[in-house]
Amino acid sequence: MSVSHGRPKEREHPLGGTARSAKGALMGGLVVENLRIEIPVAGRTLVPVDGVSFRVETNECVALLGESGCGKSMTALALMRLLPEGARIAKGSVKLGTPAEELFTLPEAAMGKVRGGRLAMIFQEPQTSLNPVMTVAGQIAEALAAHLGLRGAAAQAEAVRLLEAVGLTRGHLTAYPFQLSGGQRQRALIAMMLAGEPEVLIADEPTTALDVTVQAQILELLRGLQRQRGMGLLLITHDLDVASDMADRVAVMYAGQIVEWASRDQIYTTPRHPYTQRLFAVLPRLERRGQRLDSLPGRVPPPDSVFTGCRFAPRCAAAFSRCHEEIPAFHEAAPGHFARCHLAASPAWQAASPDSQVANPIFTSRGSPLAARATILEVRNLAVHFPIRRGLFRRAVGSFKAVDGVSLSLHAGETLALVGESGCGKSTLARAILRLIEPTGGSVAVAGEALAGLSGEALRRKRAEMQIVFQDPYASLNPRMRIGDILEEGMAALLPLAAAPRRARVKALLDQVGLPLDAASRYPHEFSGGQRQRVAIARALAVRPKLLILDEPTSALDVSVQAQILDLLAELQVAHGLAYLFITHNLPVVGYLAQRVAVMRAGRIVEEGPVEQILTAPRHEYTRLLLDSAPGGGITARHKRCM
Amino acid sequence: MKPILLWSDALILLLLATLAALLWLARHNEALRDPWRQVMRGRVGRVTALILSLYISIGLLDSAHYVERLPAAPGQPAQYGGEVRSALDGLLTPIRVSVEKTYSAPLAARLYAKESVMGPDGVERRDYPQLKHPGAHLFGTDKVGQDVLYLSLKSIRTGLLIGSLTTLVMLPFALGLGIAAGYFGGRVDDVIQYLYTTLNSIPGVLLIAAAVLVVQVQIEAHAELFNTAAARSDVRLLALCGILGVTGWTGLARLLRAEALKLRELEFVLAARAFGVGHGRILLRHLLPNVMHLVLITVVLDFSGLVLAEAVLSYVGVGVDPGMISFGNMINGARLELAREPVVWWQLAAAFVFMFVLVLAANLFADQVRDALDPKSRGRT
Repeated sequence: MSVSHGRPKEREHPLGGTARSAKGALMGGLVVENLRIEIPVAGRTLVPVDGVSFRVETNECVALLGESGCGKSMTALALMRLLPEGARIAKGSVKLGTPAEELFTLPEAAMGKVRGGRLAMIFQEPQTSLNPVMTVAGQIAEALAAHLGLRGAAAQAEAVRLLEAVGLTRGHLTAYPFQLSGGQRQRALIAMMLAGEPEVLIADEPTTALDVTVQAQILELLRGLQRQRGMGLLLITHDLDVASDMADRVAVMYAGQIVEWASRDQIYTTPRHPYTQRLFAVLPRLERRGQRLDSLPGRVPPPDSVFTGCRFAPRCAAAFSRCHEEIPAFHEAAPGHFARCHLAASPAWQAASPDSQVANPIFTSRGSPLAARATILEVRNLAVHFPIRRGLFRRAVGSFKAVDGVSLSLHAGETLALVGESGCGKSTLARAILRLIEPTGGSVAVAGEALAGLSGEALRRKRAEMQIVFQDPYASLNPRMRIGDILEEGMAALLPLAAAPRRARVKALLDQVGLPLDAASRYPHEFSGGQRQRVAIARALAVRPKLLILDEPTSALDVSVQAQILDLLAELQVAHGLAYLFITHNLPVVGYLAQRVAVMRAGRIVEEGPVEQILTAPRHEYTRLLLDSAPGGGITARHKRCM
Repeated sequence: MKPILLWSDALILLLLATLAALLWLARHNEALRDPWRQVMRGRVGRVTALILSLYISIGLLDSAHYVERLPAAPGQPAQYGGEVRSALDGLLTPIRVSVEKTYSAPLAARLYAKESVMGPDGVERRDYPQLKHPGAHLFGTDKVGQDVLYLSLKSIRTGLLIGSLTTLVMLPFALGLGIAAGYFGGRVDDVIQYLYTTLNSIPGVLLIAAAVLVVQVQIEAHAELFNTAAARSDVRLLALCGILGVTGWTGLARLLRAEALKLRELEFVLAARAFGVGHGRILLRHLLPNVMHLVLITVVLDFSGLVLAEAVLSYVGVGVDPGMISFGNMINGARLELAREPVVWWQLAAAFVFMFVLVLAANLFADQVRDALDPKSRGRT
């Protein structure tokens, strides 16, 4: 594909790349031009999507990449004309296929034919996107009847064909959604969406709710189907690694606009927009251990902001006066590489970033060797079995072994990562260590004192030494309590402090985790996800613990916020000599933060060792599977690349 | 005159004293005052608060009971009348005593039924006789000629009492048992579920009828304790509140159990447990505030249901004392009035208007309070 270099550099030509062939004829697929979505709210107008243009050719995968709140899901819903109530398409056009048909002017009845037919969409949450009271066959048959007019035996045969295409079997036809695993549900949904033989398939975060090994399978399936059927695939994702594995071209969204648009290789080798560059800089990697992750200060501007210049300028390290005064045009900075930045063509600002990383080492020396330090946590053969009860008298007929003989040890100032997929028992293990669940067998000792048998005052005292930070910053703070009360709760229960020193400590804690002091009198809903997670960390620190169990503390956060939280955790560890038990499924984070890794599967630890060894030379096949499934070519490949 | 303290008056005083004490304790707490200030800022909040306070003051005035001293011969010990009156009766004396013979339409000048009247010419004919107080009855008069406006105003106390006392009886059961069942699960849940399933499977009216009859027998047996008609109907009202409360908590409890089941898995509850915070405190600080919106909505909806339940039970004959003035008895009486020709509609209309305004104001006010108490919707208009 070639590009006409003589094209004037202005907003009206935003398609770029392979948008037009050399002859200028349209190639089919999906063309979005100047899409603007407005939500009128109480006299103001929110503009979550403003002037978005891109193009998905048949037979290519385009990734729409962005952090939460940037407008990428809104864009997808607008393409399907499924915007939530209150939001409306203010401007723009969407054309599909050859000859191009304008979707925004179609009557609703005709749009119904297109939707799920020529243009299909799969959603993030496989739990809720299938009807729980219909069988898989019934739901596929519905789509077949609507779009192909197939009924009876013909529909049955076609349904089987579709199921086989997505890697399910004939036997799954009569299954209800609850009988399927998350990955199988997502496959069934894909089969449904393929029923209408779509020209373009929109996948909105299709694997975010899935485990990494299942994610790899689903992504592979989507990529395979897209190539095999010559569909266009619009993949909406927040994951840079997923985008790099899947996409031919990438559109990076920020604050309702596309800020960069180029082929995958161009974006990943020479990002030209400072935002894209920052996104790479905040990714934790094994090779960046000990360095401070570059931070992306500030927040995404709210959708009712009025912009006089570049939308990214307030957060941009390279911003100069022109950035604040003049809105940068979306122009072709290099052949086929479009960016919305005044400096996109010149590389001057690009050197700044690596320096700042080196200038901010976070923990260069680690003092005494770990082995010489005190052991904080000693877990021996810990087991948690849940009885399975049946019958009228609820007799235990067996037991489910959630944790089945786990042994761990953790030193002061050390981070042990516990890696595993959902359902492997890692969260149960964490709760059993804290005695939030009573273990069935084995022993836990914190700072040399066994927890089993402790009760009353002794157990309460022990609780001050071990604390936990949870995954979901929205569920982990009581919405009806002020931040100050949340922080004081643990102190009131565990520390012998009077009211005045308690309040002083609240201030100190807020300062420590980088929150404003007036936060104490505010409610959790006034804070963003990252800030809430800071509150959760401060709450755990309030009782001066020695051991902090971090249960997926960053997996609900955007990458830029994740970087801030990881930096904070690293700082706090150095300052307080905390021992971290870091539970996660995210291998790059493990590589960045942990010294040792334990891989857990079905209640047992299958492999344990120093992080470098586990991530580069794993011995157990399950560890290898995890590493190979990680998007972005896996840690192994990346590590080898950088050596 | 001599003040009389009925049992329900004592309970109302206790309630008022508790409220006053709570207000006194919370008077400097900005966090508690803020939501109420927000309620009072909005127009809906102000208007509904005004209407509710009007109803409540009428109810309170009607709760200050006394008996009048009869004119006695000098040197004799004071004699008191047998009729218990309230401060409201005192204030409403003009319409209380302006009794007609029988039905008269609102603001009518003549009676609603024909009678033999002597004309000025001395000839007797059938005609609508002149009222004693023409145009003085805003809502007309009832069968025995009592002013319907007076009856409606007197009904307010009964309605408020049934609504609030029953809720007060019900709430501890519903809150305590509902949240505990959801939070603790296991055996506690089993027992509580067993309890409310059993209670629910007994027909409510049957249970209430049985309880009211038992209470009536007890009243007869201890006639010396309840020496006035007012005292007897008062005790019967309280008993009704009690039994409605004891049987009425199951719906809310089930709702709260489900909500608590959901909440106890949330991480802020786990975090509190990791701090070793006791179960009682977790229930009180983490679960209770997060189910309050449900409680508020259910209680206000139940309130109107209770006022209606009183009418239904009066119809069956196990409600409040037939001699007691209440919306239920008014509606019950309207049954026959609607069947007669020509129709007497004003008694039902008056009961409807007064109840409608009360329930609507309570609902709107509760909405405002709920919004103000929810930190998420605070600041939204």
